[in-house]
Amino acid sequence: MSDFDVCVIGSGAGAGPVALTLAEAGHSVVVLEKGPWFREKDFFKDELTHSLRRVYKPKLQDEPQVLEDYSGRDENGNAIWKSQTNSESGRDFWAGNCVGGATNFMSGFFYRMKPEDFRLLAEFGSIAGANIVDWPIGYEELEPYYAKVEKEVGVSGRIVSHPFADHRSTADFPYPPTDEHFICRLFDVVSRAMKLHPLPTPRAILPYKAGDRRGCEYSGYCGDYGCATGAKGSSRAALLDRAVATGKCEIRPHAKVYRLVSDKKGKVKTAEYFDKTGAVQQISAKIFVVACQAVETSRLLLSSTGPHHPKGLGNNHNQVGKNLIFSTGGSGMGEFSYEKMSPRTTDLLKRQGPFVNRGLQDWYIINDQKLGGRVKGGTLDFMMRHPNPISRAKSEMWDWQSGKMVWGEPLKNKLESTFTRSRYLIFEVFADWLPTDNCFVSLDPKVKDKWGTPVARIRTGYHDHALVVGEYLAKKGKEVLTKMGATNVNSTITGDPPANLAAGGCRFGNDPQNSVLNADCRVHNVDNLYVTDGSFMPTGGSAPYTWTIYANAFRVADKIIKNL
Amino acid sequence: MNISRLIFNEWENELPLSLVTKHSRRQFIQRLTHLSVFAAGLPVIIKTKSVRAADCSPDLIKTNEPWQTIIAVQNHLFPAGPKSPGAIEIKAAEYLQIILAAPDMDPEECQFIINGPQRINALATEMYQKKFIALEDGAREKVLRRIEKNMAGRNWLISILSYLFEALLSDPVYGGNPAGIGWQWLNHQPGYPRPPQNKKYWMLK
Ligand SMILES: Cc1cc2nc3c(=O)[nH]c(=O)nc-3n(C[C@H](O)[C@H](O)[C@H](O)COP(=O)(O)OP(=O)(O)OC[C@H]3O[C@@H](n4cnc5c(N)ncnc54)[C@H](O)[C@@H]3O)c2cc1C
Ligand code: SF4
Repeated sequence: MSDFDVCVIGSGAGAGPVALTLAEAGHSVVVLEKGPWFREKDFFKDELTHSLRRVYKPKLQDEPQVLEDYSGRDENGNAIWKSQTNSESGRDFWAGNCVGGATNFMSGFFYRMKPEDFRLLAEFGSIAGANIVDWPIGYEELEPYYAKVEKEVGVSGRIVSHPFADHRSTADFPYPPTDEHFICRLFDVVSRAMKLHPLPTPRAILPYKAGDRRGCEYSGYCGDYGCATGAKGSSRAALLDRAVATGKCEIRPHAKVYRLVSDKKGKVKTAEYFDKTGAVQQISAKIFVVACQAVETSRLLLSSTGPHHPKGLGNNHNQVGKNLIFSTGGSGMGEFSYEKMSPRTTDLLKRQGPFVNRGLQDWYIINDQKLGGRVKGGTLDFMMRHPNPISRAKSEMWDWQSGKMVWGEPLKNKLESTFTRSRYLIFEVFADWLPTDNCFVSLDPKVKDKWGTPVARIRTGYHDHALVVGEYLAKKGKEVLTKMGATNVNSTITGDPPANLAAGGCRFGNDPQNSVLNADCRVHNVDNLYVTDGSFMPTGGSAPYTWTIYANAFRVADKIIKNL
Repeated sequence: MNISRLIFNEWENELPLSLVTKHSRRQFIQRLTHLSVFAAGLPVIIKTKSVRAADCSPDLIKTNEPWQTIIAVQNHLFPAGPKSPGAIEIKAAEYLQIILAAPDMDPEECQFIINGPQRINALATEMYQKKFIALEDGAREKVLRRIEKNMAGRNWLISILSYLFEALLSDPVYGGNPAGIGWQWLNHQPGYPRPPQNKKYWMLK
């Protein structure tokens, strides 16, 4: 007899929908989460906690990662990949380790993927050096689940007509948009005059109370911050709390799963984990669902060797960890100086709580000979610069031209100017991160974490095409800001992968030779093992994709019920 | 080898690798731009060398070294203005003492900060035959600019300034920014709810 019907590992976007759906269907579920369980009452607007110290992410001396960065070519033209632990490279791929995962800290800009995103290869053809494949399912199959997320997680928004408007099965969003900042009006007028289609960005944020969750209180500190009201659609507040309330779901925090044990036939029998004291514990279940976020999911499967899986679960064809993807991008910024404004406009511009909630998708598909004809483009998302004051102040300690430090009176003048004389509107650029042979996760042969298990080794090569598209979009974003009257408009497009938008590594597909999961997100040669976080995605679309992860996890939950 | 070379060489041996990363230009750029959907790259703290056994608990007597020098440097970097608070008003030294004593402080980083004044005073003595606190403003500036050119020195200054900004703009619950003096100066509106005494970052687990 198994301890539980279903054991879910991880508790973020990929986990919540599965736990809720199965618990509501009457199945016993356990969720194993490596981090602590914080509630609304534990979240405060404290920049030290959220942005400057490692409270929601592990300390890197305890849980390091090894990163491989491109560092040029040798004399024979072969790429050189320099490997460094986090201490040297200055970044890591942890994005939120606590019940609810990174969804606690997301900004909740929510986009559906478009039908073309499911068939990138068929629509746009291959690109040399990129492993683009079509998805084994189409938009139609996911659409009912996008609609389900709107209701279950709580997505607020407003429908407008648009060349790339979403195909919807429901008439409207279940919640109206959250309060909007005054600058939206200017944005709308200017972008319409430019013959663009200002798009109210859907948000995974409740504008008013629903169930046990309060409505948004417009704290002004949303992205990167845990939500004290429950308005943000984190997996914890929106789904797991309800799963627990059914009486069928148990959440075990501080449970770091290090291995899935499989039998001779290849079926997974138990999950082994370290508890808070470091002691080894074991849980058996009929079905196991892995949702540890892309990097850690691949790491766990690779670490879980067994008689039938000598190279790790699902890795008979060496596919686990391959084709890791992120979201390509960068950002741009423009300054709106109060000096040129009336006192009333200045007042309105200074308001901190309401959201900008505006995007542009006019270039989701680009038809421009400069880019070689019809190519996949992407999204521009607009928002006020984050209010985090310490981080803003720190960026003023440099004279970026001379590279010298600034202090004394000049520093104080700079601070006064940036804090009190203007506000900054920024945009973020989202283009497809093309999967390549140079972006993958493996196990590091030497470096171990504090429990003595091998850590993830991550190579993060990007494809140049993505930067070309990114630059194209950034140029458009800068034009909009300039027309809006912003000064000092600039942008940076980069191949640096953002740590918080990671997917791929366990692609789904119909051919076990080049995918890890089947179309139902079950590991090809394992009857009772599913992967439901962003790992399944062969390509990621060109917008943030957490809505897609949520929707797919609801879809897979329905498949799991049929398999129980 | 001249004395300042010696000072700097020794100092660089003490520089924790974690700080170089934490203070890298990339970290600053990331924090500046990517804060919403693309989350900020957070400071990386990792022990790369074995930590010396020396006790890092800061000496709370401000009239003693190393605090005399640290306070003098803080005042030089962040002087009070006619309408703006300086290092003293924002309690930069008190704040730094609290943070260095916080349970999650990296002992190597703490040690590095505490040892800085020795180097600064050695350099000040080489340049002006006086300790840093005995120097006029102009001479202080010259010593600090010299320090800035050295990797360890630059990282030390970045640390001092970074914690000074925290004292200026973090929640008063941490001991700096008394009654929100820094927020008022910069017209900054804090977010709510604000952290209570029993929920400081090292207490959340
Ligand atoms: C600051 C920020 C802003 C963001 N903004 C947006 C946005 O505006 N729009 C958008 O679409 N997306 C956004 N995201 C991204 C979004 O949060 C992620 O896409 C989403 O959370 C990924 O879901 P996941 O299930 O893959 O992983 P997560 O939500 O990270 O969950 C994985 C969980 O697994 C746990 N875990 C890992 N390994 C183990 C193990 N071995 N044993 C047990 N548990 C384990 C982790 O602790 C974690 O809790 C943002 C993210 C951040 C951090
Ligand atoms: S209350 Fe609103 S603004 Fe504040 S964190 Fe929650 S969703 Fe974001």
